[in-house]
Amino acid sequence: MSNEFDKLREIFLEAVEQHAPEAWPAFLDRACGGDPALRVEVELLLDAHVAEGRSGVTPSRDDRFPSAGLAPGDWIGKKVGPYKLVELIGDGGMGSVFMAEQVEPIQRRVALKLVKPGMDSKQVLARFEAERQALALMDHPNIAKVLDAGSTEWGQPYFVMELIRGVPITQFCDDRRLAPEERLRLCIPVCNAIQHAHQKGVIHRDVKPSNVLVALYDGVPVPKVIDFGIAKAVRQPLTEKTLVTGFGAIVGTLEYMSPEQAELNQLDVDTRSDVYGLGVLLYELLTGTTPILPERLKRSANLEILRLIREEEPPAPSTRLETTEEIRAISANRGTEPKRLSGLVRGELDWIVMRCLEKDRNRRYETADGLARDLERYLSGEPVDASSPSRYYRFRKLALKYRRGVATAAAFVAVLLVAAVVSTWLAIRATGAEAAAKEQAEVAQAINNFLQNDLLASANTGSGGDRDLKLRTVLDRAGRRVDAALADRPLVRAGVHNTIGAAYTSLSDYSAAETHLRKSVEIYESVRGATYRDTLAARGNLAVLIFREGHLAEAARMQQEVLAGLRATVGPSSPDAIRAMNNLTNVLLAMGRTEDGRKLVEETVPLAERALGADADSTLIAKGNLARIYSAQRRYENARKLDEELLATCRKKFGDTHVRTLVAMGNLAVVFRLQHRLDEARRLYVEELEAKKKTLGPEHAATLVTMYNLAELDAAAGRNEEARVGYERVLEVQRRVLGTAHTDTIRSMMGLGIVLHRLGRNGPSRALFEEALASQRKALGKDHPDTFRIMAALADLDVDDGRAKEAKALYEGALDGYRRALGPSHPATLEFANNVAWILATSPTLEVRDPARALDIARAVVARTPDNGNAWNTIGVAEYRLGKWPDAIRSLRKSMELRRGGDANDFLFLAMAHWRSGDRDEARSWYKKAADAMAAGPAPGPELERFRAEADALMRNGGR
Amino acid sequence: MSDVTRILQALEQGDPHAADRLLPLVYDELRRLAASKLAKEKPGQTLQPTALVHEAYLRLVDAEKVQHWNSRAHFFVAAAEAMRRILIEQARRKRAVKRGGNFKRVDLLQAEAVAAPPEDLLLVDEIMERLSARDRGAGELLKLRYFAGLSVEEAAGILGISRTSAYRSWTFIRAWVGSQIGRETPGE
Repeated sequence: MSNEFDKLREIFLEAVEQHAPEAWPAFLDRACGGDPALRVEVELLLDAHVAEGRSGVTPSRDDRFPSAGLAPGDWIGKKVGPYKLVELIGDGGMGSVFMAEQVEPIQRRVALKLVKPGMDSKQVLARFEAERQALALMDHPNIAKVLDAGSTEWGQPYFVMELIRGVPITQFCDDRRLAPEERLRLCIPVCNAIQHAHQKGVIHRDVKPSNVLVALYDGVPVPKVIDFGIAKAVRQPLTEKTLVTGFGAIVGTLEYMSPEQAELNQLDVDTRSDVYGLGVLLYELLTGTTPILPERLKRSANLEILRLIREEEPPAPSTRLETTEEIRAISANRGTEPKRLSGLVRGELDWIVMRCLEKDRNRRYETADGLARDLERYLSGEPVDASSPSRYYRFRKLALKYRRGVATAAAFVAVLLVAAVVSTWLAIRATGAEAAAKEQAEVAQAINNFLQNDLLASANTGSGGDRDLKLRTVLDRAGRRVDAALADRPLVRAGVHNTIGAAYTSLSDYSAAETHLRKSVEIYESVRGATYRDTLAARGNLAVLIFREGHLAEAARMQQEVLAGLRATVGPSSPDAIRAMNNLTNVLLAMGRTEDGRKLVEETVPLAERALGADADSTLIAKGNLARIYSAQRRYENARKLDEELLATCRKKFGDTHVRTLVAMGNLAVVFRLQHRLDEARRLYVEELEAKKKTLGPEHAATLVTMYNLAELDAAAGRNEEARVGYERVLEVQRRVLGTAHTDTIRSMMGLGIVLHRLGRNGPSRALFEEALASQRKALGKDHPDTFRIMAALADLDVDDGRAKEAKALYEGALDGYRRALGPSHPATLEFANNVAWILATSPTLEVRDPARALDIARAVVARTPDNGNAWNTIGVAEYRLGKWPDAIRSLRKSMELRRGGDANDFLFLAMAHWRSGDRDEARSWYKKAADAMAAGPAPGPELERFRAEADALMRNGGR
Repeated sequence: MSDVTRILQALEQGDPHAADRLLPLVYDELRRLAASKLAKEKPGQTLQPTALVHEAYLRLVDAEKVQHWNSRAHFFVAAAEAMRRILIEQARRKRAVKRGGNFKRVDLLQAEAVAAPPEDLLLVDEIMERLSARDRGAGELLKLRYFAGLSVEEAAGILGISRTSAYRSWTFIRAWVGSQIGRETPGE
């Protein structure tokens, strides 16, 4: 058992066993005085401990699921508080409902709902109390009043309500065979009741037929909504834990649950959740079934059920009627014929109901009142407010449907299509050429039609659609059809190729992307010439692809041409030109041309601010690039400030979970990571991850990137075991979802390989590197910069495994590759060169060691960056190894100067060099300096220990 | 005499290799038992790992011949590990099943044996490994509780620690697991 862990355990147990929670802070002050990290750990444990008190993580027999008390029937005649239970009138998922008699202070009959055992009655009642005042304010003829709440002597909570002698609204309507119109009429007061509650600040949260009772008053049917305030008190929000432990508690109302209530950890339920509930109610009144059929829920596992509720589009009521086998009975119950019924419902009633059932609550009726008014309009024959979902919206929904897995990029296509329309509109404004603009708008529309029809057609085959349909399949299909289908419309054809190509780029399918993008450029050029705006835009997309394939120089050249072309055709401050500037910056930064990048960005930012506004996408991207430049210049504080500012802007403008906000969050995290402020980086990544999981799904490629980053943080902090677990998890999903040839997957293989190497598991590590190398070469060709990173990692492993020759060949090959791919002056090339030189100068494996070569390489580095202290240190060590003592002393002193006084590395080699030159006193003083530095600093690594041993041996033996 | 009984006796006599032979036998038996149980039960029935492990013990071990407390311990340690592997395999398999469709039929054991989604199970397993790396005994205790469904006191007996220290340890483990889940990325 490790000491630290032991200590953690003991402090935690002492806190729990010997101190009350109020006294914990003071106790922790004493117990973990000088160790804030330890304190954080203990606090986390105590938090978890307190949370455990409520529900356990692990299913254990001894502390949960208290056995049920009496059977409902056994309660008759018993007294609960001041109420005597008279008759059982209902039994549901949440508990049993009794008719009860109250004697004091007044004699009356009430309904008493006894909540099932197993809930924490204190919490239930506390939640109820919190809403009690609001409940008291409600006064509406269609709302049953909640009168009282309490708990039995066994601790079961109960609620007392006005007694309604009615039946559920669905049953009432069916019993009386009410026609659809009559049913709708009955719903209007229900909407009014809900609206009234909303105005008093009460959300029902559980609108369903059994909570809307209809009773006859003087022969007139009056609906009454019951159970206000109870769902909130009784129901816990869904969390990981309730899913595991208490799922049963919410079963029974799932058919009526709104998508936002089916989110894990969702606390944000608002009045529009009730609008959803009303929609389900209407649906059921019209069709006799709920939108999601109960049979389906019964057949599905917990998480699947929630997914169904959140994502699956129910059929419109008329469609359901046409497909159900019981249409005859259902229409008979509604005093009508099957054909007439579905005909009646089709159209406006479909729209009204479906608008309530929108997954995105922003698209539902804003209020229950809005729904009531539309129902009234329908009944009086006026046109309703709800309308057929627009094509664009259907498309967005489609994108949402595919947001998990590979299919994610459907969203991307949707965005592209919209972008095409928007930029067309901008082009109209930019040129003022009406006729050209009109033509272009038509072309854009035709492009969208082709893609949307193709996508929608393939997605909507059959009643439920093909849920497993992958975007790739859709693209493949569209790609095969495009040339034949659009043979006589070259511009539309070019546009479709352009869009498909960009989508393939986002899927990392570069060869397919290239085919389409090149075709697109070709067609545009032949029809409209090289300087036409769309030709340039397509070439811009091609440049992005070439950049992603790692051909940086070519990508830069192309982007420069595109930029020049756009400036000439649509003007230097056009959105297209500004976007091209950003793309070019991106390439320049990847090439290590920081200075050129800086000049460009400093031009872009004010231009974008002026032309597009301070908060426009392109402006924010340009500023983000500026922050990256600061980072590249190691001006991390400037980078951090700018990134923080951008994040704040995005949070304000887009909200905390918008994609742009998440990108900004990730950028800031990277800066923290570079500053080695790992905790702050982690906090941001965790927030980013949570948001991505929620908005994009747990297996979205972007979610996986954040998980990768978290694992990388662990690796940077030396938590290799945690890093391994993290990488393995990411990699498993990426292999499955993205495939092995995807750059993200390859990066995770690398990360995992490095960590495994550190953990001494060289075999599996090597297997991963080799797989990564093979996939990389297949995916990106052998000249991509990342390829050389893998070669270098493999070389490190070879050194470790005693394969000196292979290691040296790999190092040289990788170095050569870096120079080819990034250029000899790229910071990454120089840093890698210095690393290789260092290994060649210092390797304990004599077959690897080659100080002469090391000297060559390191000198080439300082030739380009004379102030590179690390390279001077390498040179000094190499010179020492070659027996050039005075040279070594000069170089090491230079290294010390450049590295703020140097470190034990410098001192030890200085000591040895002086010793060899015969200056023993000087040598001893340097040796002492080294020893002091090693004692003062963090624990010296094995390498430094090796050097010290070497110096010891040399100076003890007195040799020279 | 059953194979398991023979192995347990060998263990008692100090044969260190016997333990290696124990696990596969227990594993096979548990798998078989789980499958036959689930074939008989109504769908949706919860299968208790505890019951399964105890039944496997009764079937595999000749209690007359193996009375040594140590042998019982060996058996349950092996059974917990076997149960863990079974549940994990199934959770992995379940996770690999494509979304959509009614995968209730895929395998009832994985869906019902522990009423946890597979992700949770895998998470707990990972956390357990992490715990074991820091404190082997604590890891074993968690395994016996979570995967073999033993009570704290039963587990204390198996691990040869006192009830008090088992309860203390359990208090800590629960909090530790909770804190790890919080900082992990739940729902993966």
